[in-house]
Amino acid sequence: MRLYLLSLLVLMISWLPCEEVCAGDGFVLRAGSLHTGLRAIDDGVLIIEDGKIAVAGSWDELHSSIPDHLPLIHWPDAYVTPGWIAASSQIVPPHQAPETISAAYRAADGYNRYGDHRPLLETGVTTTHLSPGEHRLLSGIGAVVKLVGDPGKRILRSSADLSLSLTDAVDGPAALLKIPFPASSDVQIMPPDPQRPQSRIARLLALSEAITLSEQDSTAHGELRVAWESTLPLRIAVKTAPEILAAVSFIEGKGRSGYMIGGEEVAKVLSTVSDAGISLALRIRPPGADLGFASDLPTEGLADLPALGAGSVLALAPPTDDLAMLQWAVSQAAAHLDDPADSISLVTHHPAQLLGVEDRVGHLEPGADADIVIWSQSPWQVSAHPLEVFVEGKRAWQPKESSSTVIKADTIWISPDHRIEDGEILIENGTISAVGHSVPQPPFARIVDAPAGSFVVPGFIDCYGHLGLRGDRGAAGTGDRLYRLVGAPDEPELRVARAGVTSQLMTPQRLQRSAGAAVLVKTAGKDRSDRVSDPVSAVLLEVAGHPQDALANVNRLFDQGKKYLETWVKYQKDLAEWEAKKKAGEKIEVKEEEEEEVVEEQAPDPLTGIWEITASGGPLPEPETAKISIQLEGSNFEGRVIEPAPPIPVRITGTLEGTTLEGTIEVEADVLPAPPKIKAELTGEDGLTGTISVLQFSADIVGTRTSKEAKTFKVERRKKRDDDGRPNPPRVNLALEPIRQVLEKKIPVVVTASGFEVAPKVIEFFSNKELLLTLRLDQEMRHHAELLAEKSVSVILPIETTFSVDQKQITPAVFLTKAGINVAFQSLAADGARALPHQAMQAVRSGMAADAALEALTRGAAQALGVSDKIGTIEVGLDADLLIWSGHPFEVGSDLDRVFIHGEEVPR
Amino acid sequence: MLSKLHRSLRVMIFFGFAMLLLMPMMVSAAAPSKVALTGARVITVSGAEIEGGTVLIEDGIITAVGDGSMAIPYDAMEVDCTGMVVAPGFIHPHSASGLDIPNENLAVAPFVDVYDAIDPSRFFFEDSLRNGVSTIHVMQGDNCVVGGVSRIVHPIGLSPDEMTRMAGVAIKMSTSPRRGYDRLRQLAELREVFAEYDRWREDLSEKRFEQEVEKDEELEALPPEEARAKGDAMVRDEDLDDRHRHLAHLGDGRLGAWIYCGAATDVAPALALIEERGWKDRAVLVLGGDSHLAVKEIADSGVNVVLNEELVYRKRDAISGDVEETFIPAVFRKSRVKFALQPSSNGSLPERFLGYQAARLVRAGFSREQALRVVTLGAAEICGVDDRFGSIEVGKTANLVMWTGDPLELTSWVQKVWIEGILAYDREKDARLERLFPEAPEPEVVGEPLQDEGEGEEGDGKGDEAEDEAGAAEENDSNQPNGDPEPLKENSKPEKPADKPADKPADKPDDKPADQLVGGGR
Repeated sequence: MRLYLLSLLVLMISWLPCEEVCAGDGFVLRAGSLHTGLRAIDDGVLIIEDGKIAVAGSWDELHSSIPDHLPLIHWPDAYVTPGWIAASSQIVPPHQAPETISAAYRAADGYNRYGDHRPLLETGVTTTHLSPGEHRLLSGIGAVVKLVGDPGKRILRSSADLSLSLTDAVDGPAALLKIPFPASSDVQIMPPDPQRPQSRIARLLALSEAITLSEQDSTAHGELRVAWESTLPLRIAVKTAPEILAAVSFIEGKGRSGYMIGGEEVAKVLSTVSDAGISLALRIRPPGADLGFASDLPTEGLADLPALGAGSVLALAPPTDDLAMLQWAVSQAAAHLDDPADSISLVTHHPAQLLGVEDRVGHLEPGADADIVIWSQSPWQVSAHPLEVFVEGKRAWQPKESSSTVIKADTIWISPDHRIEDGEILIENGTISAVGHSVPQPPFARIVDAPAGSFVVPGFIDCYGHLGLRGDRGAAGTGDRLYRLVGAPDEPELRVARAGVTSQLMTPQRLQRSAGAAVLVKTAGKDRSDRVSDPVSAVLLEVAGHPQDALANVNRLFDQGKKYLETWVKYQKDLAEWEAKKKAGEKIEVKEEEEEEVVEEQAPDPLTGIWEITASGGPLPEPETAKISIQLEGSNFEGRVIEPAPPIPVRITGTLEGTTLEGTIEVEADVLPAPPKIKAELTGEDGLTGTISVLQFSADIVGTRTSKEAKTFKVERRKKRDDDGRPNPPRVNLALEPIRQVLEKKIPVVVTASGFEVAPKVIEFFSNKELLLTLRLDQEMRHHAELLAEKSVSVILPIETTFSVDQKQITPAVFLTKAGINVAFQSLAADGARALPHQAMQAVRSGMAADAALEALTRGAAQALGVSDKIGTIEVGLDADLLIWSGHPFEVGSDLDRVFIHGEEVPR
Repeated sequence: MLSKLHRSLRVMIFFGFAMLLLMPMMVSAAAPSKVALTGARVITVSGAEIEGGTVLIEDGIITAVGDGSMAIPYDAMEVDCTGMVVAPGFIHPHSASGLDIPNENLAVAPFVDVYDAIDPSRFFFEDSLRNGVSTIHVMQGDNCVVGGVSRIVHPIGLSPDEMTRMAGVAIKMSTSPRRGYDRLRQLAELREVFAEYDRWREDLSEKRFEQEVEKDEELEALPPEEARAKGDAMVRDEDLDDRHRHLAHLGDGRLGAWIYCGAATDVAPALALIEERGWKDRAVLVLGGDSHLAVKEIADSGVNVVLNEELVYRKRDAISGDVEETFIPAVFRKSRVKFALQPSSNGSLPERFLGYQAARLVRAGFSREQALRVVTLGAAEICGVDDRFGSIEVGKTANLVMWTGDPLELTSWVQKVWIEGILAYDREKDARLERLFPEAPEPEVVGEPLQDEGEGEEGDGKGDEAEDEAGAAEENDSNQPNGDPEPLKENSKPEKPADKPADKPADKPDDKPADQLVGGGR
């Protein structure tokens, strides 16, 4: 049948659970620190419903009243603030019209409401002011918008203010040219009209003149009268102290509401401004800006800010066009405030008040829009970065996936003789990239600051278990690939992960002919590729019975494996030779060899012909149809799938006895865990019914013969060499591939040996070949401690902590560790593997050293499985499988607080 | 603008001269009053397709459409279209290509008319015929605030007057910034145009009312507000000045409003303007860029749209960098917005064919009928000329295209085009195509002996040529000593009345092999 159809069977086994938090329908956000824009709350919680804040308060007060149906997002280390408000921005550039005073230009016109402004959310800003420009005396009408959201609703206020400017930029505007109509001798072409102001002194004069003119002529200056008579606040851009004074007197003189933007020299005229009670959106002089004649340094004068905020509203505006500079301004301001948390109001609630949008944004009290920024740490820290941004309750921005995490803990346990007190671990892309007392903090790094007493250990490893088989009790051989059963983690896997077991050697319940292949699987991760790194991680063998012939099977297997390895070694040698020759430019002789074509043709018979076969039922959601050409020769048949054309030729071979048809589909290496089997009965002349099965899955098939003439195929024998003399690789033998890897010393053999004399034979066999060996032993092991120690073989401890022999209690863990033998734990269970730490605890109780037990769960297990280069300890380059305990795992009262697998936290 | 007037004057003088020269010929080449196209698969667009159908044209109007059994008047010139497909000519709903310069220098120029800029000598018109386009809505380009007035033309004729079928169709506006502008300035100027017009109109109304009060004794002077309201209805056409005439026509419904939106964010101001000025029944949005993102607003407003040639929109995600492709017509179909397509004027080659653009619709899931309708009757509806163009129906203008196969197939081509019943294009006499595809040598047959067939074919070819030459020589001998176009007319006369397009010096009967005629011509 179809190849991909069969892979479907496998896919169905590993269905993907969907655990995405659907933030649209409301959720609960709990954070270590929360600032609503008005107040700071430790361990605060927000309930978001319909894009609005429904409840805000502290967790202690509210956690009992939180509705159960809402998903909870918990950021224990993060600092949550309202979306910031940029009191000025360059998202709409200054208008390009020549008029120095005109109310006709509206900043809202220039805003691309369909534009994708998400990259700007990285600055924590979600709402921004749009200005028609500060380059004209009166440039037009400003607006306030959100950066993301429904295009129809992004504009909060399309007319927010009348934008004036008294800065130097307004001087010397170009003259106005009026184009005459119609162009004729009757209509004079006038010289361009010069415009004011040409100097500082003329600015206020020109403004007053324009206002007077607009009172007489409503159309003058872009219908200025309408705008002037409306209640729009004046927004006056100022910079130097004289400009600030001019703006104050202008606003007071006209009796209008208004505020100033800029005012970098405000410290010089502080008393005037605070007496007048005029609000200010302050732009701190950016770092590196020219000081000119100003005597003070950029941030001098910030100390007086609290005084300025007394009678009016003080907000911070981004010092430059770059919105990211707003955070710098906050960090500068926080340094001068009694409580640095007060700086949050300067960029949230205060600018919202200035811009007239405080009813919707700028705070996180009930009723406000759920515009939320989750910061990696206190936002006034220079290294703080947003981890997530929500706008109206919807997740609007997240950093790229390659984000990093920094874990800070009191103790980092690496091995019994190596701990780091008060250390930090940097995790990047799922691997540990730095360990030490202080590690670098990349941008957007998530900071996990574990509480006092915290104890970080590597993730625990279960050396023999059945998690992920989902109750499959079938036997599997060395040719079967268990990793194909692995998909996204399901509840049992997560239960095990939450218990601290981060990796498990996944083994079949029974071995086929006493041999099988196992795979090392992470207990959590996004998908299969996240959880499995190699298709085969260990070869499993069972050796038992009479010592004379117990190893016969193993011997035969390894002999075959050796021959198989040799074909590959030869191929690699040939290839290397060929490449060397080719590099040297030598001519390569191509021998004509083993090339033949066989065209098969046959007379019609009960089976030969083209069959249309439909498979249905079983795991197939819909019936699938394929056309197969079958050729009968004697009682053997051979077939090919011809439609739908498979990507590689698929051969079906089998036998026909009477009317019973039995066959297998030959599948190329690594595609399926086992070759699919067909069993069918011929019905009538041109029909058949039967089943097709893979492992324990099967589907019904029904077929009809559509033609009695089989399609003939050119059978091309495998050539040993390509036309250019390049050697072809030998055929892959799935069953021997794991043995080859063992012989190449890439993976270990895990041997279950039982019987007094068997274990030494096994040890002898494998240590003579210098192969990686790990043993699972029975009680008889007590006699072989010396041998085990001598050959440094790792031992996987039996499930029973102790057993009594001859009325003597023997604790293998104690007994073996004393002899200096590396030990590891196994669970022999599926989700029962979550008891593994408990098992270690039992061993500790029976006398094993706590650190030794910890080592057996981590580094020892990794060594036993030959994966010390990937997992098992906390070293640079290893997978970030980490557990944060509240104390030493085997001390009373210690709890496992958090689990990280591949740097991702396992949800609780 | 001045230079444009000047230029068009020059063009006029030149063509006037040319027309004088050609006048006698044109008179003699009057179109046959009745033409019957028979035997073709007739795609009517408005109704079902007719196999072996007949279309009867009288005086440029379709007077009957039927199947093979339809009676053909004895005096009709019958054109055998067996094996061919006859479809309505495509309609180009928005073209600035026929203009000598597509845009004005002035941002606000509602007083101009494309009349002054249409250049009949443009290859564009010739190409339109070649590609099966029979009706073109010529309009100023998108680079304006308020542009001039458009008109509907046929791609044949020697002067804009001769080409025009409908003058004063719509005014072009744009809410997307013209070159050198930003959106603030664009929209401020656009608002100012109509604010200024309203002020002028109010003054005019008041003045008119006062005039009427002076004339009519029954009327009493009123306060200005009421006077304005009453006077508005009294404004006569002759009161309108040059500057505001077209704006007034736009206001009273004589002109449509076509607004260019180059981005989705420009759609909302355009719709607001349409709503405010009450142009809903005659407004069309010309869309570009990501405008389809505003499809919901467009659908709610009920305004029709014209899409540009780029039918696939590629959006790069600002965060992930993934590119997402959208097939724009599918978006509008889903929201039930009526849209028209335009071919590109300078884009990649296939997109210059409306047939190709329509075929892309089929590929995206439209039915063949829907796709054809979009480029014919649908476009006519959007231009407001569906009563005259866009389908093969009795009473409609006979703008017909004879295709060699289905119009949506890339392998079919336009064989003949009739515009108002006049044979305006014949591929067999397309001199430019002939130059482009000169008589190819016999293709070499690969892999087979050249001896038999190759020689035989060559022999045949020679024989034909010889015959042609002989025929030509005979004709030359008997009729005219110098091979000018006259003999052709001689040839055509005995069999059928000459049907001659206005811009073609000569024509030939449809059933004569082309090479023979060409040979005779030489």
